[in-house]
Amino acid sequence: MKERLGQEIKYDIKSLGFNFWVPPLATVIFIIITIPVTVMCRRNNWANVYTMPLMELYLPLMGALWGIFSLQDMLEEAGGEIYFSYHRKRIYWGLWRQLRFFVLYAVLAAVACLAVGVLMGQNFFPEQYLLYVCQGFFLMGLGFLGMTLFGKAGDALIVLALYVCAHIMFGQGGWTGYTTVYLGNEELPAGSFAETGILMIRAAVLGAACFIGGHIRMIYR
Amino acid sequence: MATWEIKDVSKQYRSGKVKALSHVNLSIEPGLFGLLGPNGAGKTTLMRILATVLAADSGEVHFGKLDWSRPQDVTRNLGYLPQHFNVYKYLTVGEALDDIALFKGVPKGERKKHVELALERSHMTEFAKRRIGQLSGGMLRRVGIAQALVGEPKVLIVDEPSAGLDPTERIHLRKLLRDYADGRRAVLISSHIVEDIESLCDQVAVLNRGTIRAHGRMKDVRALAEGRVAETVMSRQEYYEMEEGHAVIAFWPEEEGEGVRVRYLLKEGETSEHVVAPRLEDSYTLVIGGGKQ
Repeated sequence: MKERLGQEIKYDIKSLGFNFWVPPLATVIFIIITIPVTVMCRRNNWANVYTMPLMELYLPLMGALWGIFSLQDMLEEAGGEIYFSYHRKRIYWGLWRQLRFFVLYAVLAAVACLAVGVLMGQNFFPEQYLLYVCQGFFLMGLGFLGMTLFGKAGDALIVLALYVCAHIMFGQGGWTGYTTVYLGNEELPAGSFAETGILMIRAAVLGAACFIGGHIRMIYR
Repeated sequence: MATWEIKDVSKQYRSGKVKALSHVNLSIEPGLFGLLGPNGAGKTTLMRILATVLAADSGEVHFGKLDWSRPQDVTRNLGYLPQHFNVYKYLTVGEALDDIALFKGVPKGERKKHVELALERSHMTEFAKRRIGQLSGGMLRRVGIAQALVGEPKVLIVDEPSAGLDPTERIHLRKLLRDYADGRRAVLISSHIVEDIESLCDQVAVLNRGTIRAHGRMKDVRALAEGRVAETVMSRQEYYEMEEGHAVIAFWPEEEGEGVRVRYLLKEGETSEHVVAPRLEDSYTLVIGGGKQ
């Protein structure tokens, strides 16, 4: 059972090709960029108002990228229906594989939080980390729903881009308020659990709704 | 020995006004079964239903104890090659087949053996380390055949298996499918190439506009055009006149002289001194309504 799962995860990762390496590479680049920004801010006695909003913006999207590209060969390419003839249920091809990439994303987010936390001299756990995990869950769900609805990675990425752009433009106070999962804090320490908790719950609920919608679409594809 | 029974299967797509399949009934004995039909006849829909990729609106499918209303029982015993085949393009051929063996539930200790056998059968052993994305169309088709055979399924469904294969590989494929069926397994082949079906299959069905128009053993289906096929040499002018009222199966210029040799269907009740033994292509043309009245 363990060997089987290990092999499946290995092939899942390999099947993404270069796309698998985009989130880790982006994280490494982000961590590297954090170094001069932190040094510059300390030297000039400025508050670092750049790192946190950027991290909140890019990190959860990385999980969604994995989720979308893990479905590309199956849903976008002609003949991908072959997978549905194998001895696996639709829930495996959809939710179960997405969950595996979500676990990978949680590990990536932990590494990013640890590294950036050390550089900035702040502890990101548990509030900020849990928030990133919940945001990633929601965006993965949104990407999954987009992919199952439209069947194309490009279209699913547009759905994600529209969501992110709308929430950057209107923020928590605009008409998008009830669906926003972004804290938008510029400085550490991050908001308390009372502040982040509502966003986490919102992200978890919205994410679950997207995953359920995507799963239903997967069944009736 | 178990028979593959397809009873009263119907399917209508939400977007379509006409039924893709209407009360399809087939009884398929172990061996090679050919499915013929023009474009849009419903062949691919039927194959997708039998491959458990698509659910039928109504009807039943059984093969021995396998019941298509419980797809999880069927998929363990099923090999499927769709018309357009695609797997993860970043994996090598060997990895892709190993991954598919995992999906098919092949036990851990037997996976390597099954993958090697599938590679050998499809003549892909030397390309086992090549990435799927780097394969030519013909090679990808051979990987498609290999993946269908992984796990030694009792039921094999192949849609246009020889598309994109060179002549040598086509001959090899025919032999492979015949050996695989071996009178014990049911192999369903859909093809536009009537010669492939005629040279390979023991049984055949003709599907047109979602309904079965003919079904049975090869000789019986061929016999449907008995007395209705003529072949003769005529001038080009005679050919143009004859063509207006008859369905022409084939014509080719005579090696000597100006005439053409023409094979055509006679109208119902029409007689000719040039009647020849029918081939599957003749019966097929007659059954799908190509015989002009």
